[in-house]
Amino acid sequence: MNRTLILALLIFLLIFAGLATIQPPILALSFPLIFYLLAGTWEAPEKLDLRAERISSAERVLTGKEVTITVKVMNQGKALEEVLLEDQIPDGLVVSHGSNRHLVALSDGETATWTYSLRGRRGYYGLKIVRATAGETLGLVKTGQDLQTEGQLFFLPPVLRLRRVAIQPRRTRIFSGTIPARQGGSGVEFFDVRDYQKGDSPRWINWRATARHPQNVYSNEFEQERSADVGLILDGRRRTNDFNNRSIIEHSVIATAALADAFLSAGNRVGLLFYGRQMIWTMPGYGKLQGERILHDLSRLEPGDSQNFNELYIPRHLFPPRSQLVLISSLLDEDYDVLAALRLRGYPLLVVCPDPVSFEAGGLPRKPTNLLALRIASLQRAALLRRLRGTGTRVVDWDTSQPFEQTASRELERRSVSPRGDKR
Amino acid sequence: MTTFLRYSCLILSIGLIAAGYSLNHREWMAVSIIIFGILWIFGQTRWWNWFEPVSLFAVFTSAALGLYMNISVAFMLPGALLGFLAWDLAAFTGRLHLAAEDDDTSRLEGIHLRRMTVLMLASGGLGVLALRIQIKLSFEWVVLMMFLTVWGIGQIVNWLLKKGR
Repeated sequence: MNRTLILALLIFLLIFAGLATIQPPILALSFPLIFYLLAGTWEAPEKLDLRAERISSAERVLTGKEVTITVKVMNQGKALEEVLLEDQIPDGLVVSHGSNRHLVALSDGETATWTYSLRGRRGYYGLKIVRATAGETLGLVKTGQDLQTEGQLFFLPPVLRLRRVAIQPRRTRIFSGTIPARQGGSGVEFFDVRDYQKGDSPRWINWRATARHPQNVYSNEFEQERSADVGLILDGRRRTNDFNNRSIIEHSVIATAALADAFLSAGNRVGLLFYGRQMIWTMPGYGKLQGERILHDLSRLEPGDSQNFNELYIPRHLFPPRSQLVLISSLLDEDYDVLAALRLRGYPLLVVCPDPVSFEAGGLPRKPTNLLALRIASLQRAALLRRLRGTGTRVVDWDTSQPFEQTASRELERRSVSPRGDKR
Repeated sequence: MTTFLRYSCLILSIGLIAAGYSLNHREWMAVSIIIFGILWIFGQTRWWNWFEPVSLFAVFTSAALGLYMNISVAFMLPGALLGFLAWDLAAFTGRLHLAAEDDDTSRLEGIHLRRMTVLMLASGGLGVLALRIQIKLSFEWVVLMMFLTVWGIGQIVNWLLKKGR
């Protein structure tokens, strides 16, 4: 019950009792209460005139790291006896050191400054409001004000360093890189033998072939290594990500960040398409800046269901023909047709598939029925992956209980055997 | 500091009122008030917020009843004042709990205690003065003053509620 109302009720009762019993001492009992109310009225804060400023130690932080926030609130109005200042923190962030709240008395022109630290889940967070609630010291009157500030935080996914991701798209760009271009020229790997030409280094001469055919001199030719277009597609559909209040999307995001970093480090042009409630497209680009752009976009992604498409939809016009596509998805049975169509159109396809069955099983009790269901689901999934491999798709089956770099070093570092339909 | 004062005021308030009743040969009332005081202390340690208004009403009711029974004002008025102070300090301590660990709460405590000291002295002094100087008023004047007081307090309460909304 409101304290003012309690006091008012008590005052009325005492006055009534005092008058009814004609007892001045009973009337006198109401004096402290009346004085209390009057003091509350007299000292009540008028309009607040506060300005807030927030400084964060970083705007972009890796998940798990701490950000130090310093908040300054200046009182540009009259003195305030008691102000509760509270920096409004969005869901997903937690205070790790200090407090986002500060209870102070602020005299005219005084500034309150305090510091605290935040940790957070991957995501984008807007820090826009510091809430001030001021009152007189008796606590009868409270006046609130939301102080607008500028501030945002990006908690970026961690970037795992992969040594190498071997891909072999059918189309490469003209710039040098690390992708074998299926063309002879300067390089490292042996490609072919051809007639000696003027200007060839004597070290390139293939002495064995020349000895077999003494009328000619033959040179070794090496495979050119160039950069390629790589399109990363991250599946953000709720159906493929959310299982019993647990989401596998964090694993997919970590894998995407690691792959993007590996492809960009190898000099490739990388773009990212996120397919969830809406499509988010990071234009292809090169280098560290593109890596930052991709991390920036990855930090904002949340799973959701598209209003327009029930199935996986990959807009082909965003990816140059025959460029390397990398899909990071737990996959559904009905996705097979879409992926097979991509293969038919000549896209080399790598699917990194976080295992949803083992992931979901991790959160379930080990009952016989669950174990049976797990076995059936595993078989269905194995059948789907096998069908996909049959189309020439390279599939990396990732048990999320294992670190991604371990799976990647086993499955992705070596160049795959040319899949069916990719004959030279 | 505030916690110490809160409990001291509470114990003194209950002690004074109970002593007043006891000296007036109403031991069972004194015992009831002491039992209630123990319950109040227990409620404060457990942060029973709902119990605070009940306690305030109980202290003032017992003080008013004591005055009606002609128990000395020297026990009842200070007892009620100290009970009121204990009620106020409980609410203030609750607000102080919102402060961060490194906040300078001593400054807030200083402001509050200064304000309460002035209020208690002023209201106590005025109460004593009002009991000493007694003016004979006609019934009509008493009724008019009662209405004015009730209307005035109503206005203050209305303003405070609007302001605090």
